[in-house]
Amino acid sequence: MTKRQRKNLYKILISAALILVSAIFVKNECVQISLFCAAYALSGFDVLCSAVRKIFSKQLFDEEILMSVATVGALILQEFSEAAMVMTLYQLGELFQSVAVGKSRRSIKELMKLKADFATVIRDGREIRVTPEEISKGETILVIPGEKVALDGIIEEGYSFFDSSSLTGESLPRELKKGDYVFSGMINIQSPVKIKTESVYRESTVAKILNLVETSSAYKSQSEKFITKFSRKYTPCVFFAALATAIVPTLLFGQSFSVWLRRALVFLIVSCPCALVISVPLSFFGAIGAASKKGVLIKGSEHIETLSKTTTIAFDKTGTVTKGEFSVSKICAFGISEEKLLEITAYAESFSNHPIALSIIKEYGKEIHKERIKNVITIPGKGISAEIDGKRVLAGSRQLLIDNEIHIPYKGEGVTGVCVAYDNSAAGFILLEDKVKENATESLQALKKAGIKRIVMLTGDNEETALKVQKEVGADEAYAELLPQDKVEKVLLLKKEGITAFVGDGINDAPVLSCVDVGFAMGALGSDAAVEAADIVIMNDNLSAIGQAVALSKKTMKIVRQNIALSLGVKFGVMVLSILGFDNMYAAIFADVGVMIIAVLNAMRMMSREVFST
Amino acid sequence: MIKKYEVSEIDCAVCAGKIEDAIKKIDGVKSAQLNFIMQTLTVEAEEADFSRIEKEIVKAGRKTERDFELREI
Repeated sequence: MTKRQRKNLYKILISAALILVSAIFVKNECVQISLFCAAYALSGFDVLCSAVRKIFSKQLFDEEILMSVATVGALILQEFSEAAMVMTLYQLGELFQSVAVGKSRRSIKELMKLKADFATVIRDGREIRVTPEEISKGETILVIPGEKVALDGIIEEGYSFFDSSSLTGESLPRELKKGDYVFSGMINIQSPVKIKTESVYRESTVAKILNLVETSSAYKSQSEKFITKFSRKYTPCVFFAALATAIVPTLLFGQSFSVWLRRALVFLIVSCPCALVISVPLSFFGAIGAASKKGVLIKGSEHIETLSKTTTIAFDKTGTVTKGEFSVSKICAFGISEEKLLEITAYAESFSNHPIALSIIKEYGKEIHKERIKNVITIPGKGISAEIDGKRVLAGSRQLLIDNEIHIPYKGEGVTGVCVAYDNSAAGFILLEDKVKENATESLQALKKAGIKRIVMLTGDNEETALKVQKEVGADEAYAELLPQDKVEKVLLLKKEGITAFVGDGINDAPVLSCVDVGFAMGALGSDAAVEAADIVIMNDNLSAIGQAVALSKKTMKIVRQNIALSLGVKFGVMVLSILGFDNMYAAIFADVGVMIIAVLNAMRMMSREVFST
Repeated sequence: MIKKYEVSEIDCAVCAGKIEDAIKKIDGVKSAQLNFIMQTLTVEAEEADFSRIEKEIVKAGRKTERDFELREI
């Protein structure tokens, strides 16, 4: 609690004590009234002063003014205890709101504690502690275990493990050594390293993420826009309704003025739209905060709202559903064993760093004795010729073998593969494929459970591969052999049939990302293009984050709707009841403060860390 | 140019909205955004105007929230 909040709390407690003592123990009417007035003055002095100031600065429809009018009206009607009670409870509500907002702010700031408070820079051989903003590009910083990396850079000296969980939500530490790129916001957990900075703070990963989250309120959701508009109209409307309630029945039907004035005062008590105005943005912000803790950056509450209504999700295949790296899927050997075929191919490819070569060497997995290899010749675009243990090996495309007049019964049309000849005859072929991510199938099933009706896969790959992956992961539809512009067209068609999200790697997919309703970019740590193009950025490579984001959006919207319905329902209920004659001011203020407390507590559920579980 | 501030002592979201509206009306302010939850204010204006605008922002803020304060970050 801040000093101001504590001061208000004491005032409220003393006022409440005065009211209780006066109501229960004091029998003398004069003493009773003076005690109530004292309680009223104590709790209401600030509000009354502020109301007077606001009347002079022409801010007429302010809640403080309306509360002042309501309680002064009660005093005029000689309802001293009600005036004191309303003011005390109103102050209690304000205090609660202020404490709750402070708590939420703190927990959100906690979630976003990515920025290092200081960094140790090495200048002229001396270690100096400065703020991250004071370091320029190209300087060397020292990061000891337990410290956050202040700026993006490359490790110059040392070797350590880094915790990137606050950036990507990934719990496994990353092992980084000399020459590796380190992102700001990672925490060094093992041994000291020296890092040469690659950017200034303003351009670092952390600054970009923080900026993104802080400015996310710029993309406001429909609900928030509605609340803002509504709150501007609500208070004046209630004021005029109260005025009409006080005057019309008396003037037109000759009814008792004091009865209807009482009813009008009840209107004023529920005139503040605070419960709505505070709880709706709080829910959205809590959701954005909880997601960012898990490495999912949502650029605005607008996207949460749209995502909650999404029915179709389209995935890019390579690098999104699949790993984007090749692995051996089939070895077919003629005349020699499969192990032997893999061995000679790995040896032949050992001087290449082509992704296919690397994946074959990885599959082989044993040490390569380079002295066994001689006369390596690379035939551009076709493959490699080498002598292994004195025998000639050809490894590459089918054309390479045909060129050497070797016939091979190749069964890998439309699939990536390597044909091998050994000792001048066909030895076999190795087929490679891009493997589906481990959790792809369950992630897509989770999307179905979260209410996504249609899962579509788009790929530039051939039909055969596309169908195979579609079947494996359980997507509803797959479209193959699409050029980038075809993907855009396809997505526009899908959009006509329902709100559509697209998931891509964010680098090649920028045009698609920008034309869908919600664009997800995956594996985007360090990629500006992806952060720029997408609405929701998934920092790590985890597909399950998409299902969680959908579930989170639905939960958020549910809480927002509950709060809107609850607050408006109770307020209108109180007004209707008061016209019907249940004009109890205690009940009205209880209802108003109570609803605000419930709505804020409901919204604060979004802050809990469990909301976005992995 | 764009400047960013930390604002303090705004407890009520309605008040934040009112203050934002008032700031947008200040002469020379091209755009203004008050983030109630993060307690940050982003103002875009010509560099030469900022010292005057800052004073007016505080004045506008205090009309709605007595203890309104502004700190550049």
